[in-house]
Amino acid sequence: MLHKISVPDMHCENCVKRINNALNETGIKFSVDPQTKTVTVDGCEHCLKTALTELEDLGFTPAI
Amino acid sequence: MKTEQYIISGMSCAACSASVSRVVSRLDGVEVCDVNLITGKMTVTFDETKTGETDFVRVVEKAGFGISRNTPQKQETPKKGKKESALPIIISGIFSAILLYISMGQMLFENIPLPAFINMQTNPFNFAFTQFLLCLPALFFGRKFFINGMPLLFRGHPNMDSLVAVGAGASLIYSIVMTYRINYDLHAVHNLYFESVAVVITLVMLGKFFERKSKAKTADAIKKLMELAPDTATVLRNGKEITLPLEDVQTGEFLIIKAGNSIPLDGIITEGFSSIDESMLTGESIPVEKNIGDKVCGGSINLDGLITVKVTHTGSDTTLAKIIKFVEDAQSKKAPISKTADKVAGIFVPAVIAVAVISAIIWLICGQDFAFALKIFTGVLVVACPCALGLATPTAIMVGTGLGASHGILIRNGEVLETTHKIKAAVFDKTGTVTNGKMTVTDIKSDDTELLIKYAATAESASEHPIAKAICEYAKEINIAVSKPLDFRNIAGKGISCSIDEKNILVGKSAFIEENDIDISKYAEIATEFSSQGKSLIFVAAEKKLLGLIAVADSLKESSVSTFAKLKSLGIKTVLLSGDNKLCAEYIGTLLSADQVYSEVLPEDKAKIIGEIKQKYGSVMMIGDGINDAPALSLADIGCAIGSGSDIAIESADIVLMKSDPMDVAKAVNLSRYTITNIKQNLFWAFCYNTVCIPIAAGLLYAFGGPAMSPMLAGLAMSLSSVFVVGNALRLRGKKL
Repeated sequence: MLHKISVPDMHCENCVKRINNALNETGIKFSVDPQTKTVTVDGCEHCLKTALTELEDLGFTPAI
Repeated sequence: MKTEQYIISGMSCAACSASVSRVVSRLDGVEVCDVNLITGKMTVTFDETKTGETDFVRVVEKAGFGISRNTPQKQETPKKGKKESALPIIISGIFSAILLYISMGQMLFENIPLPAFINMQTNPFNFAFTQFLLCLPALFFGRKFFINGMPLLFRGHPNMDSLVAVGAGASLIYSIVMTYRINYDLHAVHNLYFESVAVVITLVMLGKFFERKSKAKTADAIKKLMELAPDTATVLRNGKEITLPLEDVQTGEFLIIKAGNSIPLDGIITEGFSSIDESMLTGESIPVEKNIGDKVCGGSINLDGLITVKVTHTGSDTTLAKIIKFVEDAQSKKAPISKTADKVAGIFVPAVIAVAVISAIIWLICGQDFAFALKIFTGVLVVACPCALGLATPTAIMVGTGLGASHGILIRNGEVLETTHKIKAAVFDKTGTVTNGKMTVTDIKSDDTELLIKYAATAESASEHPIAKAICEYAKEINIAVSKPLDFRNIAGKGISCSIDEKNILVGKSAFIEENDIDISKYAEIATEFSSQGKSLIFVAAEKKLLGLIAVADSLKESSVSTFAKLKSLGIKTVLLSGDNKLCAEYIGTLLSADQVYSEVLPEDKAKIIGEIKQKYGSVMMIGDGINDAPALSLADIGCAIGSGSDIAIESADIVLMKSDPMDVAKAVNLSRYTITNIKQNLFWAFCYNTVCIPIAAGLLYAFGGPAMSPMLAGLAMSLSSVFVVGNALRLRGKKL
């Protein structure tokens, strides 16, 4: 199941790096696209929720 | 409400600073949070009862940034750490020694002199009670073990302290009970373990004392760095020179720096020129000629001219402040290996206690009386009291460090000695480490050498420049008299023009000679060759004719080449690191046959390169001498400072080579290998001892009709195992490095 999360305040490579680092630790399958400012999560509702809290902890304002 | 400032690292865009601001603002109790992307500073106003630094650090680090408390570059004089007294240990030691004499002496030798009133046979109660009194000082000074160790044990996280507390505590209580029982049963006098209580506590205290002492030293390094920059600066305001504290100086203001003073802040020279001693930054002892438009750094020293400097960086943005931060960061990055001991204790302690309790219960169930069960319980605890296990490492390390010291190799602490044998690569700073860090004349090309040296030395006699000094020294060596030059003119950064014996003499770089329309083609080829070897060249011309040239270079230390070869034979990769130009570094690298050479390395990059090498090879040892090496020394698994180097390098180093001989690097590695082997032998013994003795103490032999181990025998076994371990460690002293 693919979930697209929009992260409007992702601006630079550093943001991408931080997201990668944080989500890698959770073990979720995901991909980050700085062009469209989206994070795509491959997994269940639970994974989506984890990703959202992770992103919020990073200081982003994620939206589905 | 409270306002604090923090430094945030790792931010690269506005989203980053917004992220930081958002995560901190979200904390309960945070009123205002401003994050400045440019300065990297965060100012937080918060309710200190609800939140604080630990929360900020947690959320900001979670968000993927670095955070540190913003402390002014000049911190208020660091609190004078109370000098820790060794007195408690000495007192405990003395009492323990007396105690040992009274108790063990009686047991081992029949007729040692003892006052009659504490005679074991005639006055058993006095004998026991005296021992009890004698062990009180150790208990008093070692009370921390009980205060720290017991609560941890009850919470299920026993550490080394708990181990000591349980072992010593059980022996103590048992001994007190036995002292009381002497009145009813004279044999109880044989069941006293006051001495093991005192000795164990004293020895462990001694170990901890050394550990703390070495830790306290690391903070001194940063203090030294801070002392490099002056407290005040002379600022030009409204045409007047005023002296201000550094904090009040703004960027863009102009500073006046007189000859001989240190430069307070980073800036650009706007007036005047001078030689600047930047050895704190580059480690290179040669002063750098600086002119209008050149950058200068805070902490470096203005050697001869009067200069005006426009301030570009203040406070925590200066190069010096960054180096300080590097050292701080690097130091905090070291994981304490000592925790391993606590980890072992975490398994060992509960296991031993469990064995003690279970065997006591089993014996009770099997119909033995309570006294026997208590005997078994205490026996197990005493026999397993971590003496041998605990002594295995520290004794070998103590002897190892002592052996090192006698060879001029100072080792900061035991962890260092443990880690050194694991290093896979050794990184050497070039100047001052593998070279002498002093210029000497290496080659002279001329038809008339004597005349050449005479002119050159005369012209350079007034200069303090290392190259000039090298030439003058050489002249002295070969007995060439130096006269006084006339019409002396020093053209900064180029050379000298003067007249000697009524001849117009020019001494300087090739460009300077050529500017004066003198043909240098005769020596052009050899000059290129020398340059490619990283040598500095001084041309000498008389009456518009080239006389020849002198090559000056930093010479290799005698043992450098053999050191590199030796390290290679030990299977350690060798890396050369230098702030010098590529030619020079590569040339030296070839001479040493180094595995890898990094040239033109900036001070702040040294630490980064260490990181790279770490990834490539594993454990890394860094050997250097300059202040600029300090961050790299701290970051490397083992930082090794050459004794003749700067104090800061020495203080941030794990190993100091007092003799400044690179060969000692190989010796240090050998020393570590020997010590580790010794520790392994000790641990093996201690482990065997425990696996054999614990079951015996638990009554295994007794169960099959053999003898039961009384706690007294257990105590003796424990002492013997310690003696064995110490004896084995002492063998190290005879090793040749």
